[in-house]
Amino acid sequence: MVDISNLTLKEAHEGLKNKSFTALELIEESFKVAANSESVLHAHLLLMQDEAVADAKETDKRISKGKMLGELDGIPISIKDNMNLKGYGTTCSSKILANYVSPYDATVISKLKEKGTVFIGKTNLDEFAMGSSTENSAYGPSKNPWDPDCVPGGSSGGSAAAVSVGTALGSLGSDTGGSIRQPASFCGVVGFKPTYGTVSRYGLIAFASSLDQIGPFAKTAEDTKIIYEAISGYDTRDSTSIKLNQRELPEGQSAKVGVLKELMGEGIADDVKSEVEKVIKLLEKEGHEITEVSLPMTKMAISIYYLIAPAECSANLARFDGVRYGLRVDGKTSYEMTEKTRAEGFGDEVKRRILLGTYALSAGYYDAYYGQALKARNQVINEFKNVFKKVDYLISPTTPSTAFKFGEKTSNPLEMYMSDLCTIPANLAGIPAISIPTGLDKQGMPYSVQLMSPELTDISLLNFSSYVEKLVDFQDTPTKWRKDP
Amino acid sequence: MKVVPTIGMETHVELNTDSKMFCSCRVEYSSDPNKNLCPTCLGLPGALPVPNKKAIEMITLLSLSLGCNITEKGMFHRKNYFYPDLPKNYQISQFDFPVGTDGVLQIFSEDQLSDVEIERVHMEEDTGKSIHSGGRIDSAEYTWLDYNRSGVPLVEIVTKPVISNAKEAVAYIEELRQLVIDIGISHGKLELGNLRFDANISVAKEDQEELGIKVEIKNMNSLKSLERAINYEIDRQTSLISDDKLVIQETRHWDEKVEKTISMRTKEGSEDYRYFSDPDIPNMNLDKSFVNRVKESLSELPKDRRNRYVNLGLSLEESNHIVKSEEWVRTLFEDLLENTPNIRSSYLWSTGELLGQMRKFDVDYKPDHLNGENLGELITLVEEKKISASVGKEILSKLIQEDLSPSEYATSNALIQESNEDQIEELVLNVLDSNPEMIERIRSGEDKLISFLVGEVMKASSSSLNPGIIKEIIVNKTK
Repeated sequence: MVDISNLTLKEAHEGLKNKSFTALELIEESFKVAANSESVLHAHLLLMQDEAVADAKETDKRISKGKMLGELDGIPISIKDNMNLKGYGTTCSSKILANYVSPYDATVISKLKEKGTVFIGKTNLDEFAMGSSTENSAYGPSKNPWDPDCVPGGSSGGSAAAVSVGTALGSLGSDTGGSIRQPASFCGVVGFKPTYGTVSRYGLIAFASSLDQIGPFAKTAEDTKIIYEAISGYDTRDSTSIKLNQRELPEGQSAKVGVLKELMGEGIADDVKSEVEKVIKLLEKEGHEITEVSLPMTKMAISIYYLIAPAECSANLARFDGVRYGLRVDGKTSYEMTEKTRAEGFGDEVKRRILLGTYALSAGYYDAYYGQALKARNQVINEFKNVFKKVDYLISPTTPSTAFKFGEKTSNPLEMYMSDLCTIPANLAGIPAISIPTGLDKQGMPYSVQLMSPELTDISLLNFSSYVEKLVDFQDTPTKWRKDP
Repeated sequence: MKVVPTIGMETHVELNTDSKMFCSCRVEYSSDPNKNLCPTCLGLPGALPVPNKKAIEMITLLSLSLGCNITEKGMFHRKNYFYPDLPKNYQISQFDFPVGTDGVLQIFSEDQLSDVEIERVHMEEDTGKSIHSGGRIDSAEYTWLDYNRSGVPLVEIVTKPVISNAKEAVAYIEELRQLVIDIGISHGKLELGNLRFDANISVAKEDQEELGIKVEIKNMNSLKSLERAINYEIDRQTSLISDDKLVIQETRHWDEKVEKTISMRTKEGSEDYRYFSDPDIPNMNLDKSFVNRVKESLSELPKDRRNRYVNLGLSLEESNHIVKSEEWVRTLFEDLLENTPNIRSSYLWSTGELLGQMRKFDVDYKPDHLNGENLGELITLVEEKKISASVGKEILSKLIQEDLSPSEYATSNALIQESNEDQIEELVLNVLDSNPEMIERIRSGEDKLISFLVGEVMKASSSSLNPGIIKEIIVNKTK
């Protein structure tokens, strides 16, 4: 019998191709894991078993005719519930979109459909992707498969948990300030945020348009590369999507690696630092040139982010007014209806950010806040450009600590915001960044490292990550969910 | 008290592109409500805007026609405000980098040409339409929403505060309307809302250096209401100032029924739109090569056309009349210039006699067969005195109803008049010989007898004579 929890996407593809098992068997295994785990982990807001079984049968027909569509044909993949899948709800984990049904497919969904991917469900997230723990989901949090008392990270916590436990071999998340990499780190899977503009955002419900980027979760960097290659590419429906070709970097031993000084000091747990140093030593042993580099502006990253992202979100979320779709709470006038709808439909964190952003854009404050943040963001971009003249890749922790416990940071938003300390700079700069699991801490929770590279070197970064993965040689997955409950 | 009114105009022009500003939905006015919609123009979550290249070319063309500077850094901003017919609750517009700045529009008002300075020309998307049942937005029992118009490309043209009276404001809109029609970027139909305008009006005491307090007037749906609203508002502000009362800076609504402007005090304080650059749309590159390419499609502007006609001999008013006429009249007139010797007669026949007779026969559209060639032939016959003006008018009425050649028609119906002056002179002398007492009376000032003698000469001939020539000869002989 096939054990999906220990299977990589690549291995599953080989298995299907060699007819070691059928797509139907693979999908049934997916849902068996879901049946064993979902009542505790709550990784999904929607499971689509009937549709997935039908899709898997289609794959099996293609395979029997020798017309397999490629590496993703028959592969079970889940989708963060902020991407539109035609005919299904897209809730963004918000009450305001509880009854909304998407009339169209996001570009990434269309692309995966063409490859014969089997969608198994929509995954949980912090409301409108605002959060780092899924505790802001209006439908209840997801749990970390390594320890259900710990958060899975966020906002794409459901996707990370689903891949970690094995309900899916890959998952699509979105990353605005670390929402793919941070949960990947907490759940011990690979999470990749591509260069801004290489994956179309059409159909992704916007949080902060200039920072949002769709990317894949999987067990290995190679698997994330397979998904990335399928979903990326220029899209006429997204004006910010880019046509430029990828550049190549050294991917093996000749690669120069910079250690980001500002992310190896204050605010980072000692054991996390030691883990990154362990990986650096492995690289040194292979003969890599390792340099310490400084990007002073990374210290400003959270401040910059918490002006730009809320400002953009204050406009992006204005459309949820009860007029055309989603929740509507009646009022005496249309304005009162909109006020009541938004008051009832949005959660506290979403309201907090809308207020922050509205304030930052207000007349008399724009120059001091939003305008200043835009200037500072340009400095961040320039610092990265300069540092990448010296090194090919940057290494840092993905998160300041391993997964924290539920409730630990909910009463202090600033402390919660700090968990994105290491991931936000890549979003501000638009560069690709990846989190790779490297080991477990004393409590058995996953460690990781983050690798970053210049824009449009995504493929090289993914190949280099595969190389680092082999050096690290960490392949554990959480095991207890495999037995029937 | 002597006062100086100052007016600035803000005009929205709907472009006549096939598709909307940020999606590929059709721009169509006759459609049923909520038919031309997609995720983007309905503001569905996740949908994104992609700018319409044709619309950008059109606004560039308009800006060039107005002599504006074109920004190289075309940028879209979000203008944030909540309204049910604005699907995203922000309008994609332009803020500190409009496509065109600092232009000029030449207008013709009260027999004079003058220049209206243009401050900016910017691109934005239109909203949907709200139909309130029972009152305004805050008092309606219910409101119908139609989003067909949502996302239609809209250009806003803002003048500097340089217009000094209602007539000039009307002339400005007329000229702008003609311009957008002539350069082919809008249907320019006021009744369909293709052009919509607001006026900013202030009144200052004559000796006052700075402008008075500005009041914005909305809801003027025709040129007539524009003129009335401005005059009303100038009077209202003037009497306030005369009474030493304060004019309040506000937005007022023109109420067509009571012919008054009414305060729209719906919001307190000034609105903060929280403009910021739209992160969904990268900056546009409107560089020299783009602008030069657009420039190539620039045709003759109304002001140049007006000037050309003046140089050909029309008065300013006549030239302006033709420039502002319906397109078929203008085309016909241009064709007549090729086919007749005299621009004034072309003008008079095409704008006066033709339109008059069409009205008389209840013909709404110019018949297809009527063109510059056959009408030109007819005008030339009259000009060359081969037929009389009244015969010309008679032939025109035939020509409106059927395709014919005016000269063949005149010949076969014996309408060509005698213009051989020697023969006519002989007839005149015969008539004068038989009426010697009349010569004396004409010499002593009884001019009306000339007409009588012209009639006598014409009666004496079997063919039709040119009465002008007869008159000329009689005048000479009776000096």
